Amino acid sequence: MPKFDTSVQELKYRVLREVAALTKEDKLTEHMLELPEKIIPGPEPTTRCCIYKERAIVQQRVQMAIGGHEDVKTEVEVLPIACDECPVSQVEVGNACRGCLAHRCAHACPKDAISFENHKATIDHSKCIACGRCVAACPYSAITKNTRPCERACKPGAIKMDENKKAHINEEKCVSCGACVYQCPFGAIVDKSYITHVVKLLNAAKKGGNPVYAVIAPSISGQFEGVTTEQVVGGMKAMGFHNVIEAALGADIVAYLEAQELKEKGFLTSSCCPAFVTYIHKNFPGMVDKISHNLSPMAMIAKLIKKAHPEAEIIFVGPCVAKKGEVKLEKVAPYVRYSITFEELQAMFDAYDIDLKNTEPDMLNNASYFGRIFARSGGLGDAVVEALKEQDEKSEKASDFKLNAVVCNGLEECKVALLKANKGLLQGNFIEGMACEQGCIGGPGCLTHGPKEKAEVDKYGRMAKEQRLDTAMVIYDMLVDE
Amino acid sequence: MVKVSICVGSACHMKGAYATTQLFQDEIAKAGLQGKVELSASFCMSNCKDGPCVKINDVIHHHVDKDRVASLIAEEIAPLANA
Repeated sequence: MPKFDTSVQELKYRVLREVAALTKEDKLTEHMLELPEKIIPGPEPTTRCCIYKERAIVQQRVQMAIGGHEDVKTEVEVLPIACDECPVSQVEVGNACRGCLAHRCAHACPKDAISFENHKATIDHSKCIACGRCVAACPYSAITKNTRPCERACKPGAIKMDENKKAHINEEKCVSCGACVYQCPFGAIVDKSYITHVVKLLNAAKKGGNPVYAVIAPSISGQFEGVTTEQVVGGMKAMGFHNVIEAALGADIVAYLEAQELKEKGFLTSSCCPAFVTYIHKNFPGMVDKISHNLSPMAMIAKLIKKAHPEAEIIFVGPCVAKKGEVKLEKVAPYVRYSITFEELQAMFDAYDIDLKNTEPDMLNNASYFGRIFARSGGLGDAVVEALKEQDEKSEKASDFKLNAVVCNGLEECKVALLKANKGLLQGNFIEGMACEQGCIGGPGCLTHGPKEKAEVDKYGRMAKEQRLDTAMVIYDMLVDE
Repeated sequence: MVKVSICVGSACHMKGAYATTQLFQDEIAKAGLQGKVELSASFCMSNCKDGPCVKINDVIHHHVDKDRVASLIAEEIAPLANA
């Protein structure tokens, strides 16, 4: 059985696997309605009140597995039936309340929602606005505030309870980072999947249609337990991918170009992480012109592949939910068709009966050490330092530009840096913004998230044949005219 | 215009395709064929075992190591370019 962090991921995986397997045989429409019963055979329910509810939820998961709802603009959606287990009242008084004389809680409450019955504070939830002041005021720590895991995970503040007490995603604020997907303990928020779209491309390629190329993120290292990245590549080719190429090669190029852009402009924010870029657009519109004009590594390498092979259908495989939206952007859509996650890749392997452990390894080695370490927080900054160094070696006079990168690990740190930069108070000239904590290795589409992932990425980086970024520029220069 | 495409896919890369690329650029200049040869890259020619691969117009040449670049230009590319 594949290794996941949680059973939530495993249930999602089972749905994806079934949907992919049926699509491969071109039997999805015929058998889609049978899936809930197949996945929840019963007779006893596992986590919900009855098997019928569990099956109804699976039905909604199937909808997400085939692309979700087109009218919902975010890449994540709430499954309404699945979202009903969180405590409805957010602030509660516990047993530690002594019914004291001071009544600091009641004095702190701006809405007069606290009264005392039987020597115990009682909260009138019709008045409570869950501001948390009573929580801070109680000397016994007797009052607790329950924040929904999704709400707590959502750093842009896009998730609130709706009138039916279900999580609601505000499309204006959501950056599709996918943190809520990974954090909801019931799997009630799910990312849209384009797995069926990808399988259909592979089916078409088998019948003589356009070849399908996969661009794979460097965070792949260490994702598939007990097998090498080369075996993963071999497995992908066995499924029918014509070629597998490292996104890290695009990262080499992006770091090189970003260093040049930095020297010209003096200040930049990175453009690699689509959730970070969207966060700036939605919250700091005045800083949009500071975002690097470079494509993301994924889009950059896809642009080069498309140049060399115009007939290529390119898909991206990574840890990222936000990339699913990035590929729909006007400047990226001509290059990348769909983006799927490692979770979805695992589901595809099993739908195609690929046993990775017994798969012949194939090669994957184009990018440099620096392009590969983009997958972890701090990697991009390191790569830009290297690019500046290499560019200095080539020019007669060393540039007087000194990089002072502000590495932002997660959206909260990004927010702080952007607030400062917006006011001209930031000590630094480059914001490396990664919406996920730890960088891409902390992405919601990873199979596992652990302390070893960073070491794995560094190890993978050291396995690169190239130790310099500018080797990738050879390819860029041959394929890009401007 | 002669179209020369150098495979830079993983297998060819590991066998030294990047260095070959640099050499092609230099040698084409040395032979005075600039403007007559369009040098480009490919991400795989499906001949990984016989790499590095180089496609000249529609013909794929195998095992194009560094020491074969000059002769390939003289024997294959120059006649096409000067034709």
